[in-house]
Amino acid sequence: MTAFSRRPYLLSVLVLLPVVLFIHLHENVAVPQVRSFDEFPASLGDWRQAGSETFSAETLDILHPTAYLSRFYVGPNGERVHLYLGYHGKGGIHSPRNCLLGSGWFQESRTEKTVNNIDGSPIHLVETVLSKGNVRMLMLYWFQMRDKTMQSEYALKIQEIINSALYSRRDESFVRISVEFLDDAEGAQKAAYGFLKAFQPVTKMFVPR
Amino acid sequence: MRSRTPDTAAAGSLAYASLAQVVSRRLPELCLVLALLVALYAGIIPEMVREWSQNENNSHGFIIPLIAAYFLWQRRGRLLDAPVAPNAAGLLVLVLGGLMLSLGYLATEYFTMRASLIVILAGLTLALFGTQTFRVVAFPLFFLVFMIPIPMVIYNAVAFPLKLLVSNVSVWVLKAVGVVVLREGNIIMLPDMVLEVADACSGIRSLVSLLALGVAYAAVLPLRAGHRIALVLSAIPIAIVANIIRVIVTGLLVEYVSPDAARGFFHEFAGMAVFAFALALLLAAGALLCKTRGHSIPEGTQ
Repeated sequence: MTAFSRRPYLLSVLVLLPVVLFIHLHENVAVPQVRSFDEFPASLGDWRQAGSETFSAETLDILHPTAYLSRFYVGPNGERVHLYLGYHGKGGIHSPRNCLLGSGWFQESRTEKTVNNIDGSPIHLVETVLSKGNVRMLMLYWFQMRDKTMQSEYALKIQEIINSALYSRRDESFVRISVEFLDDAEGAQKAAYGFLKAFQPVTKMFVPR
Repeated sequence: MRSRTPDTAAAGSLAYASLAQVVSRRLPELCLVLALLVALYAGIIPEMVREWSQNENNSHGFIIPLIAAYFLWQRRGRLLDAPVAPNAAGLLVLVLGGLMLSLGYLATEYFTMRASLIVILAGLTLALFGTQTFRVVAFPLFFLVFMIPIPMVIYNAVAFPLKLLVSNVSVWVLKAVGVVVLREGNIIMLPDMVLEVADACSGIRSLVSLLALGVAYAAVLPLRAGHRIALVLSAIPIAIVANIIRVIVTGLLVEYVSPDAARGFFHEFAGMAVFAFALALLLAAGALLCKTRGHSIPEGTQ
């Protein structure tokens, strides 16, 4: 190719044009919720709702969920569990790593676990213990896209790419179950997993397939 | 960036044409390519500028293109004279940039989408004008990377340890000089005030700006490569030290003056003062490196 050759320009256009078309023609559909969080059961088995939380405008501005649910439940032995469900119809989950670790919470441990649902399907989740002063918190969380559960932001990104490319959708959910405790780590773990077992079949009904 | 006189390396190509000649002859084609670039980034770049103006962590983004433009302006002579020899490898780089943009778009990964602009510009420069031109524009072009807000995941991975480090050292010093202080993670409790070592004071906010300035400064100083890298890297400890000083001064003000004074210092004045202080340290580091046997290639100065 000589300096004045037209070829490199034409080839460049050939490379860039498909990208331009792709960016302007590919659009993700905003997937509506299957059912509203208002229908989420206030009691299930031995668990009863014991309060809920409404987020401030600032918090919502950061989290940007299409819909969310933030409730406290009390279990059969008086254990208090917090459930957060965030639904993002067009993607854009805000990872818990962003907020908690900045506001004084210190991460003591983080393990990736796989537990089985009643129907045998696996849930890939993160079990983490955080502390702030003498208060500690056990947290189970995972990301969910259609029927896949994910532990890391990176896995979520990859799934976002796949779902967007194949189905033009990027709807995703974030599920977090947390139990505050002082020193009974085992009790907290029992409460969190007990709650998970009881609620997972219900939680699933709120995630678009 | 050690490009010598323009005509030595272009011996391989048959036609010796300067950038100015090529641009005037291939203007319609060039405009077409530019139009495609505009179509690609019309949604992405304004979004980034909005982030510069809304998020203080990224406000330095406004200065970066200006500094890059200045570097380009300095090189205009070499740029216009550089012999043009289109390089097919540029097309590969272009494909890579296009893939980056497409994947970033699918994942709504802003950093990837934004960074693809630099890759695509590099690819176009190589493909249309060749290696000589690319060498001249490489530094200003890659300097633009500092204008892109760093991804949240990386930001947090770096910010959190920095916050803890700043709080740890500050509390240690405050205790050593007799200030009553408690620390809980990155929250520092003084008798009349609770200080949170937030993003602003962890040093990361000033760190990115300081790194960018360090790179620009290292580029204009007559230094050896090793010293240039040392100067750029010195921005890291400088940012951390400056922010430790910020927290310590606040602690001392609470103890010996008043919490109100500390609050005022901490929130309004300190940010600017700390950055000015850090900048002074960076300038001093550069001057120091110049005085040691750092300068060996005087013509390396741009």
